[in-house]
Amino acid sequence: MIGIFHYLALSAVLFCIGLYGVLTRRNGIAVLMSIELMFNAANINFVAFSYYFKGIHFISGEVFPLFVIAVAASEAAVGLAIILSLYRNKKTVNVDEANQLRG
Amino acid sequence: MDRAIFLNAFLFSPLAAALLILLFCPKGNPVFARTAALLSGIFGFVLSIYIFTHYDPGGSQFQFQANANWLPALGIGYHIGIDGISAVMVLLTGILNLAAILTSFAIKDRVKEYFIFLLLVEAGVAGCFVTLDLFFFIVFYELASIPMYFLIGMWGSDGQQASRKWVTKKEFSALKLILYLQLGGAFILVSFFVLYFFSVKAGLPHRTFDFVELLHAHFSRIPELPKILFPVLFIAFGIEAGLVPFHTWLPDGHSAAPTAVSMLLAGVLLKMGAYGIIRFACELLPSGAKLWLPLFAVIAVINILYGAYCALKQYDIKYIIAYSSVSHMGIVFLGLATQNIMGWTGALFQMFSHGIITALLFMIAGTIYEKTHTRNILKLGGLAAKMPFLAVTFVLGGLASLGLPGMSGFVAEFLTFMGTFGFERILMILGLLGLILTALYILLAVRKIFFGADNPSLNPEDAHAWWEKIPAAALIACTLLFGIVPGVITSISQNSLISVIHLMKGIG
Amino acid sequence: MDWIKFAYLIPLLPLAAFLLIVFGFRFFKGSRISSYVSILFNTASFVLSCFVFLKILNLEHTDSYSGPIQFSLSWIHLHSVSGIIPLHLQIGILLDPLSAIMALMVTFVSTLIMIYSIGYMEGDPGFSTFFSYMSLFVMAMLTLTLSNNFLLTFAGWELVGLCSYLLIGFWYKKPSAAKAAIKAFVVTRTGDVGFLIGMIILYWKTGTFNFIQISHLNLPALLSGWLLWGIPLLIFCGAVGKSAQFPLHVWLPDAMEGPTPVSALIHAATMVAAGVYLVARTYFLFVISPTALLVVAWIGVFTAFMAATMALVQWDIKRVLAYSTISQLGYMMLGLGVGPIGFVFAIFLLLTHAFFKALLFLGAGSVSHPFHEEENPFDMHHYGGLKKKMPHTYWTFLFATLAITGCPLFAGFFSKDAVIDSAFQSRILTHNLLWGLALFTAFLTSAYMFRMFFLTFHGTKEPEHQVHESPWVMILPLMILAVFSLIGGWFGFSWYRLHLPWHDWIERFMNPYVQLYHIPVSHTIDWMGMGLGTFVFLAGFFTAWVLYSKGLRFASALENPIIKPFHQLFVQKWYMDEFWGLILSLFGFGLSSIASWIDTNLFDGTVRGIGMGTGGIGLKIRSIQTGFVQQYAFIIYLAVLILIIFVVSGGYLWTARFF
Repeated sequence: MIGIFHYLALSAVLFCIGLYGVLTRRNGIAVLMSIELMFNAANINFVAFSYYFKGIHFISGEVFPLFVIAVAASEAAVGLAIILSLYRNKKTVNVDEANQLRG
Repeated sequence: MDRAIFLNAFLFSPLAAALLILLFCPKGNPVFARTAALLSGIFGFVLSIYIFTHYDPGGSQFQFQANANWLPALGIGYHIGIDGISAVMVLLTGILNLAAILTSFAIKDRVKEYFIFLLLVEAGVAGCFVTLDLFFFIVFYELASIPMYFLIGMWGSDGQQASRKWVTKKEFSALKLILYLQLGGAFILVSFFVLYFFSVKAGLPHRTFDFVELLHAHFSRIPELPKILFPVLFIAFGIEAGLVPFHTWLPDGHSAAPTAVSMLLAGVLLKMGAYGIIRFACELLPSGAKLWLPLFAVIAVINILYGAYCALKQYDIKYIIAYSSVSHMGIVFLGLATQNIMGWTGALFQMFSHGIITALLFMIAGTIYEKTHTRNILKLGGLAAKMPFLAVTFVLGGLASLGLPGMSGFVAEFLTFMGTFGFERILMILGLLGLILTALYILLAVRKIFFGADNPSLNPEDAHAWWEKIPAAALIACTLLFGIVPGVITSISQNSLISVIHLMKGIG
Repeated sequence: MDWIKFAYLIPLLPLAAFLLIVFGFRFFKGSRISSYVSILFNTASFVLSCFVFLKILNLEHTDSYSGPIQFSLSWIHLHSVSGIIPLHLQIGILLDPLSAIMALMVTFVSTLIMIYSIGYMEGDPGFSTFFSYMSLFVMAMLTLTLSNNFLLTFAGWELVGLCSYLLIGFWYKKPSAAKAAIKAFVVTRTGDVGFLIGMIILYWKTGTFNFIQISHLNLPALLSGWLLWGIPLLIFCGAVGKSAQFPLHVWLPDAMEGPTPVSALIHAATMVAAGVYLVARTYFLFVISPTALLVVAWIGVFTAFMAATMALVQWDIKRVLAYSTISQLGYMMLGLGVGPIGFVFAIFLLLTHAFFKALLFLGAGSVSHPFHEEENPFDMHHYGGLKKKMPHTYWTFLFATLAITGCPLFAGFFSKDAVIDSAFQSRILTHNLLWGLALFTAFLTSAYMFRMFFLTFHGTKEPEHQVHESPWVMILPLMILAVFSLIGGWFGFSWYRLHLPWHDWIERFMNPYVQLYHIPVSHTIDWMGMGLGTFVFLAGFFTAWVLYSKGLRFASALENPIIKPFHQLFVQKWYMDEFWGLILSLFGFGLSSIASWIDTNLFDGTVRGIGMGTGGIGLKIRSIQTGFVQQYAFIIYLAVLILIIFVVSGGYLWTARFF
């Protein structure tokens, strides 16, 4: 029987992979993909909690992932646009190069 | 009441004009922006006269009221209305807004943005005087002060303070001004929150930001609250009104600002501070006022003398006028500190009169700067023959400022000092000594700018455009009118002032 | 008659002239119209004053005289709140003998001087401006004269000060004129502050500004302690400033920078006499305090003496006249200060002095007219032997000189010597000393006036310039004034009891005051007073004759070790300018430097210090900001981890115990 803990474990693993990616990858696109992984980890949590605690007829928990997916899509669009303009300016997608805000 | 539409229109006409310019003004077309601003200015001016003349001093305490729920859960409502005190301020705002808009016709670059910012300031100032909701006061306060930063930073000019060896950059002054105003604003906000959270304890059924409801609260029931909160509020508003030693933003800010903004800063923004002291500090915390005002009377006299002494040393025209504002605002503080009807009427009259006079002086100083490209009186001289119109207006403004009978400054100073005698004689005598100094620095400035031998290196032309002449003439007409017939103002404000004094004396 | 109600038009007519010139400036430019407007309205005002004067004269002679006539308007009204007296300010006019005769004199002299100015100011680019200022001045002076309360008097008081400022600085391109204008305004304003303080205290004690109401109160009961002498002396401060009494006399000699008609009207006949008028107007405050009277008398006599000594050594004809004015004003103050006995004579001196001093100034203007190309056309070094070239000026000037020095039958003989004699007869403390000093000053007056007269008109010197007589428009006012310098005194015979039909005319006219202040009227002819007056006049005349009639003689006497320090003292104006200069640089500019330093370094310095400190801290800690977003994210991750461990281990419960 697959219980809630399986889902939580899956989401934790996904989250950790995403976090590791965000912290270590230098490629902007890879960083963005890692962020997507973290989003999805949260989405899995939402759905799982909703299903196990509220039952199948209450979909309040399922609404949030929809929101998150929408936001993630727009975020990806903006993020890719930034990376694109970064590439245009610096001919690279290495995020370490984009340190102009540095004090 | 239906009459509220006039007050609403007065408040929203600059905002509407700003929006209109923002949306429809084609870039690089100054005519549209000027026309829109001018129309709103004339509209507001006419409305302010209507409101002032139709205010009934014998009627209810707040008139022209409009009250709409905005966030009822938090006790915030859009509540506007005027009493005898704000009626005077509304008139002042109406006059000066129009004068400032006309003076702004001299602005040549980025006209569109300039007028949007200017109209926002005007709306904010008007809002502060008519709102009866503490929350909205903060909103309007910020609306009036934030655009100042951009106006000074972008359209301002550098100045030279006498005892500084470095040139005061306009960006520096803008930053200083905005930091000070925000500091004052922060204290005001915190004090208003304290009032809000204690309003239930003070006997109100629910927490509210509504001024009229708070007026029925008894904050004196809460021990220590008025005692602690009054000085905080007084100083917070005092920062805005140029209270020594929190005045240093004032000379820099006023001098750096473009002409019209100096007029608004000195003319109405300073008065917002004094108005706030009357409206919020004294009226809501009368027991604190009674306790603390005698101390502030001493600071007020320091204000008068200190400002006058500093003005005597300056050689940048705008700095002279700015320090004279510090000195003259001291008279307002002194009048408020007397806690009697003569002093309070004098203080209110001084708020009005000083607004008109300083705006006039700043306007002429700005015009001189524009024509001669210097504000240093040591480099000027002998201009009376070349600019007779400016010379006459500046002399008249200066005379009004030094309290010549027949002009509004005299009535204000006379009433204030009459009141001060009933309060503390020594302070009256010390304050009156300021009159000698005022005469000295104003006449010295007049002499160095306009009199003396002809300076062939300066060849400026006189003010000739209608938008340069009409506001100056109109402002002079105002000081003469209210100097000769002061009863117009005193009869409007009398009952409202008496009710505040009754609160402080514990009668009402 | 009801037309007396139109008396308020007396000050309003010159105001109308002023407004007409100001608004019609463009059209009047370059023509004489503005002078005609001024003179027309001024004459109308003069005619109205005559009517008022005659009306009051008639009222006095009937038994129906019921005191002064007043009309008032409410100006500001503030209710009484919580035990504080209500503020009810009125503006109104008061018609009584004093104000009526003063208004008559002001309108009369000003009309004559305006006529003279047509000639004097001919061709000046500021012709219209000049006449507008003059009209404004007359309006202000009449306001001050006719006002029935302290407030309106103060308003007129300040406005005449303004006109004085504007007219002294009329030739604003001259730096000395611009400086003198400021000096005049600021010095008189110093006195005005005292006046204002006295006024305000009086209101709080009596509840009114109205002269008549205050004079009917029981003042000694209301004003206790120091206020009894404090209030009159504070009001006297204003008079000291405006009437150029010691120690605030320093502005008047410098005020001679203005055009000569201005000196004649404002700085000789009317405005400077306003201080004397004020003391007379508020005399009910002075009579109750012997201390105040004594101070007034001593200030007056000392000013008279000091100014006379300075007049002795001046070479600028207008400055001689300026010091002479100060000196004569000192006499008027002395007359008021010795008590009610001198009151009428002080007023009488004020009126007659207006005639002959205006005449002297106008004459000096006429003399200097051919010399206007000189750097200082008033320098007597240029003059000498002008008698033949300008006969009209010479004779009128002689009349005025005889009048001021107290030659028998001329105006000063009746007025000035009466003042001196009243000092002798009064019972005030030290009255003998006052009288002695006043008499000695009369000798000095005679000496310096004839010195000036001889240096200007006599002597053998041939003028370098093409000297000519002035136009008729200037001579005519001189002649009229000369007539009044002669007959003006005859209205005040009463003191000598010579039985002419109008012998006690001035005294009768001032009868209400005689009764109000219980002025004793003597009925014997004072031969000693007359004799002494004539004697000092002759002594002064001969001194001047010996020393100066043949040009400057005995110049070497100035090197005498006894005379030299005195001469130096008088030439240096008793070092009063230096004294005030020191005060100004200490309490004015000195304190202003300190204030400005404090402003920059203490207040602003603190603020800038805080600003810089904030900036400095920012500079130090900004190195944390590496700009690597992943590093930030790692730090966030770590921080969240620590928080979670903290919460899970129950740490926050542990810390909560402290709160």
